[in-house]
Amino acid sequence: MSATVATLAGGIKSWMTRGLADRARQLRLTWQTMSFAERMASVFLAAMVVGGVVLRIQDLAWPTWFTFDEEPFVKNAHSYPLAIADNNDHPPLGKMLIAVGMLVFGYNSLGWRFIPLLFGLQSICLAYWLGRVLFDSRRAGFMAAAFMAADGFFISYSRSGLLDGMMISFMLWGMVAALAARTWRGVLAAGVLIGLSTSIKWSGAMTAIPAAVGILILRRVSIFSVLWLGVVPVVHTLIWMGALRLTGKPSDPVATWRVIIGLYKHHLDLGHYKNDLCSPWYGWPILMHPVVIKASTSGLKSRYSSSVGNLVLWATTDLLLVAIPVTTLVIALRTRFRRYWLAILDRQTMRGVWLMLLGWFAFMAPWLATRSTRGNYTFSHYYLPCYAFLLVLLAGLMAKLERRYPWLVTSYLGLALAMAIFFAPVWGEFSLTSSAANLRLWFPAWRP
Amino acid sequence: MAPPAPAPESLHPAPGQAAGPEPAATTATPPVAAATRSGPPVVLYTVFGFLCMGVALWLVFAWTGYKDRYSQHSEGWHLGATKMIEITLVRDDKKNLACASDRSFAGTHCGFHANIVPWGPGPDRDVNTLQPFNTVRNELFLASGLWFAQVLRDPLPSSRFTVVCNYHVTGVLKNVSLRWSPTGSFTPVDQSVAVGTLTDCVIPQ
Repeated sequence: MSATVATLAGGIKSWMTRGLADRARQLRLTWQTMSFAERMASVFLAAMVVGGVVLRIQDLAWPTWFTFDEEPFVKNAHSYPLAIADNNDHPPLGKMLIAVGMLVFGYNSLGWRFIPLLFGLQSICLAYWLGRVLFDSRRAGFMAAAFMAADGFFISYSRSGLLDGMMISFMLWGMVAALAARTWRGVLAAGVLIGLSTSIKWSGAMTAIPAAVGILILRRVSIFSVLWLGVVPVVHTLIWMGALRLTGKPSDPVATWRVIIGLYKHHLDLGHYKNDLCSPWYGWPILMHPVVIKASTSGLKSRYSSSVGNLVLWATTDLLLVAIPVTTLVIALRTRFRRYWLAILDRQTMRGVWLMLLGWFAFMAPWLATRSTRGNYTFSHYYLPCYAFLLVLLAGLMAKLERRYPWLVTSYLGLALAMAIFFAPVWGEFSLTSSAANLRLWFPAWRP
Repeated sequence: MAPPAPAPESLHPAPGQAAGPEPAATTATPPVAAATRSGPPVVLYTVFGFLCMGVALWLVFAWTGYKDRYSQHSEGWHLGATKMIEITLVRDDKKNLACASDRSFAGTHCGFHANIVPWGPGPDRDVNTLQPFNTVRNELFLASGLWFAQVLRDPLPSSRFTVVCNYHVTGVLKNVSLRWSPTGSFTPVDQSVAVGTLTDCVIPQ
């Protein structure tokens, strides 16, 4: 522990003194060696990151009342400091974290949205690290951060007191820790982070699949280290026991297990419920029914935070979702095409791409598997972790392609930025007339 | 198993370098990304960055008094009080909304008796007819006089809008049934609902 603290302190001291100057010089040199197209692309990416941060923070606390699913989460979060039992149907950690924000700022809209905002901003940083570690490229990291920053799906969840944004953040953290692990301790850290993700929403446990495969294929640590991911259910159970103890309920392992099993059965039974905001799994990649997470009207104008994604990024990732497996199949059958493919994308990039596709599938699998009991009682935000993996995949490919086709990639990034600017008013709750909002929310199913 | 040597990170190779397959594509050695044992302690950096971000945001929000600008104004629901409230409406609510009860408060009463027999000429012609409304904060209340405000006599927008009014609380009604559409049925509510009159309405600009 003390060695860890010393490493961190040393790293920070070095970063604060020598590192900053070195980094500035390195950045200047990098900028000087860039072509004009690459400089343009860098400016676009920086604008996406800065714009994404501003859109997440500005007017966060509006509206001052509950929107979408905030009410059950916030009221149960409020229960923890008061030692009242949580009756929500998700694990306790997300609500305990929301409660921290309310302890700092009080029982108001800033209080219950502060921690989700913090995790939403952290997700941008984590997307950078995941792209960088996975594709061995800072440029890929920069692109992943920019894509996540300039997408309404992630912006809307960063601006509301909901659980999904926090779950995604721990998911990304777990992936980064797993891929950057050099010793068993790194894998253990990944397991703990995935356990935290699972303790917000159970679907977070699916992170263990791409994390384990990533550890095995990168081979930076002993393959047996992957067993440390077994800590995920332990972390989950311990957090749940702590939450039960905090609220004065029986918290021994048997009682905790009963609570977990009861909730599991309740989830399987949700297929009987009806909700206008439901959408089936096959509707998520095609934006069949993205939810307007926050909607408020004042006078003749309305303010929306829609979860419609950045359509340029969304369409590209959908295309890749189909194109990559098909191309791989063609190459497997007709090996003579392989050299053309490898001329564009090397093996390491493709390994990263396939790992991200595995992450996409891992998070889709539970909804395919439980379709017989859950029916269509599923929501578009279940696609949030899948889309995060696709954006990192896209970043890795774009960073690679930029070396060969800089103008093509720059044009693409310019288009993605333009789309983000066009949709920013309905992502960041700008005050709009209904006609201006409908100009962006094209279909009735996209509107509140 | 000894890990292979770390591959240096190539951010932007010279233009000529870019063409052709990269060495990693042709080697049988397991490729190793970014830094290996000497790489940055990513998890520690991200944890530290997260804490810094939290403290910085907290300081910014605290320093700008952000919380006070958005503090809730939910007090004032007591008998005899006058409270400024923002009501969410669509123009058809004149016909959509109705309540049913036999009680009356200082001359105001629901549009229907408890047995669903109409009581009076309706909210658009009788200033004393109560209707159920919701504030933008989703607080339910009964009020009369809304449709006699000058601002609501002008042509109204087709989409949802809000009006801000002074609400004078004159009573509390229990055992009331509500209807939210002209063809809908009356449903009893299981809570006490404030009763009052609305005056001085404006559409916020």
